Amino acid sequence: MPPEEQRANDRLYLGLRTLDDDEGATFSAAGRAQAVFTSGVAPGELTLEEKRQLYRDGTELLARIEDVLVVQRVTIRFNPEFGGAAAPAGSR
Amino acid sequence: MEPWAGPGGLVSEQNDAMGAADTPLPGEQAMEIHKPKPFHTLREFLKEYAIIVLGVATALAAEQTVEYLHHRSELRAVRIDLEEEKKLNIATFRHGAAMFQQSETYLKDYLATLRKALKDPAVPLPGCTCRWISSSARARSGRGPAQRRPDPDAARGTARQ
Repeated sequence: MPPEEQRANDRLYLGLRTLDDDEGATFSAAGRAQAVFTSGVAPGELTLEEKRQLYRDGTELLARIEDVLVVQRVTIRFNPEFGGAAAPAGSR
Repeated sequence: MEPWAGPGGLVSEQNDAMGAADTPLPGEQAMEIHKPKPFHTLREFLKEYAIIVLGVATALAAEQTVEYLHHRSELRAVRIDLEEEKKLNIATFRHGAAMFQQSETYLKDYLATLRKALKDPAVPLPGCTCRWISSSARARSGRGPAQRRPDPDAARGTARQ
């Protein structure tokens, strides 16, 4: 394999591996944030403390999602072929 | 000292004695035996030596050629796999990018409403449509790390050669 192609593949796998790690953490955060709903409680029945907990979990999830979006932008920057119609905003 | 005659040596000796050693039996083909001739000159030695070297080199070259062809076909298969994997990665990446963008927008709106609901209990909290990322979405898109991305070192190991 030509060195240039090898480097491109290395960059690609590095980006995807990093993305996988970040996405994994995001999915965990999403699971925690959704737990209150998956337990079957109606939103109107949430106590103040449950709402606060939901807000904390949601905020953490949002931070994780923003991290993932940054990693996606970096991945596209180093692997232009990953860009497309659905690429994150500001990635080009 | 008597030379060792081997099994049947006695018969051979008898045949030799009768002068029948080189005479095939009726219905049998004679076996040709080329006794190694000792070389007497450097030229003869070099000739024998060149024949041996050429034979060994030919065998090695043939083996290398077979290995090269086999390796090339393996490499072609690996390259095809890599290309397919790359296409899959690009497709799932784009799907994921779109999903995370939607989730960000949705979650921002939801948190804004939740902030209002925390300040004013009269503000109704919408139900979670769960449009943000969920494990089900992950499973739907087939984005399990183990499924999607094989060990890059392993891929490199096979493709680098």
